[in-house]
Amino acid sequence: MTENNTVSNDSSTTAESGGEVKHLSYGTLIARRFFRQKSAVAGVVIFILLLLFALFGGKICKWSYDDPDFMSISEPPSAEHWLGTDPGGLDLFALISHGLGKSMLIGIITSVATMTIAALYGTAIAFFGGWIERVGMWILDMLLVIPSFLLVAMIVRAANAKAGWIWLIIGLTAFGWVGYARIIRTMALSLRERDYIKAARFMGVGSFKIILRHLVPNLASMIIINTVLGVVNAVASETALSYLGVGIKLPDTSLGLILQTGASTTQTAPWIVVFPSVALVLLTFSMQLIGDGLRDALDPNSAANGQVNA
Amino acid sequence: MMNAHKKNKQMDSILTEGNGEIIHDDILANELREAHGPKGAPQGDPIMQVRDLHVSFATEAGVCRAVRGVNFDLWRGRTLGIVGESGSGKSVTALSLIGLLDDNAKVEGSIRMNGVELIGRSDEEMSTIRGENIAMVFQDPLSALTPMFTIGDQIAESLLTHHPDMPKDKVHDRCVELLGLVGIPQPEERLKSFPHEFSGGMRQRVMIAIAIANEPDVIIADEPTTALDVTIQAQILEVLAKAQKETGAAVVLITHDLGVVAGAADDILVMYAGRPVERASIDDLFEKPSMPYTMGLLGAVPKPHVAANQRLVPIQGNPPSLVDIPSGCPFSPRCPLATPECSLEEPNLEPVDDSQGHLASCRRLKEIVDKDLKYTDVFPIPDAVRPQWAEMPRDQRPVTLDVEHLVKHFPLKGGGMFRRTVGKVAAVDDVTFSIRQGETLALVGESGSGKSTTLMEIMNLMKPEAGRITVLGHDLAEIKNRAERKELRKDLQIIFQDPMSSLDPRMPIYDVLAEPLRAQHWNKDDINHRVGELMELVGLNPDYVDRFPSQFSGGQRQRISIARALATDPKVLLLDEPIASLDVSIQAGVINLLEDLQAKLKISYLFVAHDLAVIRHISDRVAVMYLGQVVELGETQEVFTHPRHPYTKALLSAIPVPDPKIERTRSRIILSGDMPSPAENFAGCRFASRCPIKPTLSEEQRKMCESKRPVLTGDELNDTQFACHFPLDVDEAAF
Repeated sequence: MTENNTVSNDSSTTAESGGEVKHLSYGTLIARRFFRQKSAVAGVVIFILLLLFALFGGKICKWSYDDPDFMSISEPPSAEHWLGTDPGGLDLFALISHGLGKSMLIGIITSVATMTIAALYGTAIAFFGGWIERVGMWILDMLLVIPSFLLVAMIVRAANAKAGWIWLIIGLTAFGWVGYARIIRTMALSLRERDYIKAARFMGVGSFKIILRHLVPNLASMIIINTVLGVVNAVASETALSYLGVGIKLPDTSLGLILQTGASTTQTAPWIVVFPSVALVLLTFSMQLIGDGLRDALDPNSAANGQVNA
Repeated sequence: MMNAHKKNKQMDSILTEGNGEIIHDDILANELREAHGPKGAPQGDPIMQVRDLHVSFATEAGVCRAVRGVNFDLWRGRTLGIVGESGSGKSVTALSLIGLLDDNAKVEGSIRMNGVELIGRSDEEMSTIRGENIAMVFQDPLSALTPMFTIGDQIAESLLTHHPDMPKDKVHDRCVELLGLVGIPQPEERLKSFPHEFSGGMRQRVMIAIAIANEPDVIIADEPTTALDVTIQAQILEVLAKAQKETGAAVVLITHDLGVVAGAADDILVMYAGRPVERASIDDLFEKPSMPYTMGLLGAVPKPHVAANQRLVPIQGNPPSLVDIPSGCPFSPRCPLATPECSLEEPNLEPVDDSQGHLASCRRLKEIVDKDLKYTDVFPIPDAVRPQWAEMPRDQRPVTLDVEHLVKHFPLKGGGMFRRTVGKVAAVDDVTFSIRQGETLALVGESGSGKSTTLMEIMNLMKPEAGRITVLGHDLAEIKNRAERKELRKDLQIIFQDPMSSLDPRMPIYDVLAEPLRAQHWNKDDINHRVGELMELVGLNPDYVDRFPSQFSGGQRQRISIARALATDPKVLLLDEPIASLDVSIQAGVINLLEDLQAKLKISYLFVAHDLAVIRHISDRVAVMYLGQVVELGETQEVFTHPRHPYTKALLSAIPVPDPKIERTRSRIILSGDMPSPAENFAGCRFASRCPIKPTLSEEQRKMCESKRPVLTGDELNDTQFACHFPLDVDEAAF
């Protein structure tokens, strides 16, 4: 432990001068602790590369994701088609670039939105207690019995092809947060009784601020891990829905959809599965690294402390 | 079958191998020469001998050397007190005697009982003597009993483990006898009770009953009274003494409380950083402590039996981490006598006086003895800050907090779906006191007396259920909206008991201190300035503001909580047991800080504590609470010297005094039983069921106690107010 013995316990405290204190804002402090970790930086770099690929991949490729080249169907990678083509003659590089963008959008937005709602809802009902908690729990229990997968499928089916992915996000989010909210409430129940929560209340800090400043950060490890896993989950859900034909619809595409196309031709055209898989693995890997880094940066007991006691 | 039988035979007891041979060496010779206690010098052969005991643990941070070279002997019928702060290795020493240390502990040295070496024995072998020859009483009685089995089953278990052939009725009789011995009323019926039906004190009695079930030779009591209230603590120490008498066992009493050892121990071993630093018989140690650490420890403890006319002397710094023990004398970084040579070599225990067995480990021991240095010479008493406003008489100063006849009930909810209210608990029932500017009022009472509820009622700033709370002239019943309430929060702050849980572990100190200021909408520059000011005010380096709470020690964290509470310059500060979770040597520093701050900032303190010694030291006035009611209210000095309420007197007589001579001559008023449940309905005096005065009264007077509720009144004898129909005379001394 970095117990420091250098601070004197001098009881005669006569200093009245005060003066400016050099300090780092919380954001800077967390950023410094985050970037001190090599693995977290690696995660950010991978993530940015993937993001750039998703944003500008389509621009540097002469093929568009919805422009099939009927001259080359299921071609292996070549100078013309860098990553090959799929059975429909679509250029895989363009497809992955576009599909990765969609998957990132769906995965990250869904996961972040899910955990945000779950964290706020769960901590809020735990914090306020009383009848708010009872009603809140009642709503959660009601939502849990709804067959969410089916409902999402129905919602997305009703939407048109272009806006389908937005409805997909809305549907996945609307039903995804319920279970997490329950877990977070249970964890917040023990935090609610801590003295620092009482202290903040007695200082006149508003309820919403207490939730944001004390309750949510103290559940950060759990929330961050679930967010990271949530990205993977959301991509998986999207893949599953697409497989059933109710997720992303052609000509729009996603990693899940590409993988699904490639699954049938793994023997004859393995590149259709390999390249999107690599993209998916890189995406989840970078999210994992960033998540771990963020968790350690927020956790005061972690190794990210660095040499504060030097 | 054959095999099992053979194994059983072999496992009979490893002690039968022994021949009672003992080691005769200097350590034993020195111990035999120490005779300054109530029992004189030890007689006969020791039952247990510990030589050069070393215990270390492998941890992530490195090797933690918890015990480094402990030597002592135990005699039947004598009590050895092991005293030290947290992390001094006292509990590890105790656990190694009974072989209950974790597997990753490395134990070296020798522990011999009846001539048999215990170190290196397997768990199976040790279990033949655990409970039979060595027994243990743990600190927390709430978790030491299994909730799933009855008390009777658990006592019977300890008997049957070692005597499987004991007939059923004999086991039953022995259980009843044991429960009677430890003072549990109606032992026959209580055998069938489950642990949750017992209070903490009762459970500790059961633990002692289990410990002495097989008449062990050695009883190890690890902080047996720390988790208990002061009146219960007195009972348990009494029971422990009785148990020792009954079994004739040697007792090892481990504690951080010098008051407890003063009354209960014959010999003392003071430990610091895993090493014994002083060993003496009880009177010697308190009369002429010779190691600076012992002196500091004795000086840092507030004395409940004398008026507080001088400041406490804190020991600078913190105890070292056992992973990273400083070179040389481990106390040298905190020792006022330390010279650079002290950090070269670790001193050994040397006799203070060649003719006696009093041992101390200090390089400058000779100087200390020759010059006859007392603790005041070693630790100069810091000057008190004289408040300039103290000249003004009390009644001319404005009242800052006024509580009148406060009442708070909690509903008792039944189970089931609708959780109907089935009754109510009067947590606070008639609390009255007032605090003036710059004054400290102490609220004293046992757990469950409603102290914390009173604090919460004040802090909530809501209209009370009944009665009146006035904060700085604002009647809480008349506060209409949030804005007014928030405005008042600026002047009313609270400090909690546990500095670990009162600071958000995820917030850097800067944000912790800035939080109350942000809540009051200060601007950024002012906040920055104020944070620096606050850090210096409580004696912390302002450069540390970017650290997290976990990077500070307990005492420093409590300073941070104090700084946070002072941020908005409050006029009234409520302190909920602010030093109870700190080590003795650290406590003194925090008490001094609180005194200085009051002198400087003219704050009123409402100080809640159960430690009467601290209260006598710090408070001007005291309110004694029993079962939700203030039963006595008056000047601290007056209440401590001439208590008027029988409960106050009992409470005062229960405090252990850190002075063995006084402790031996004092007679204790032991209150019968535990505090009744506040859910009961009391027609008359709430204390009537335990009152030691009531049996001496006439029939008619007793009826009055049972039917008429006493309220706070005064009389012409002194200024104290009390809630008793038949108050004590003022000539009755408390100590």
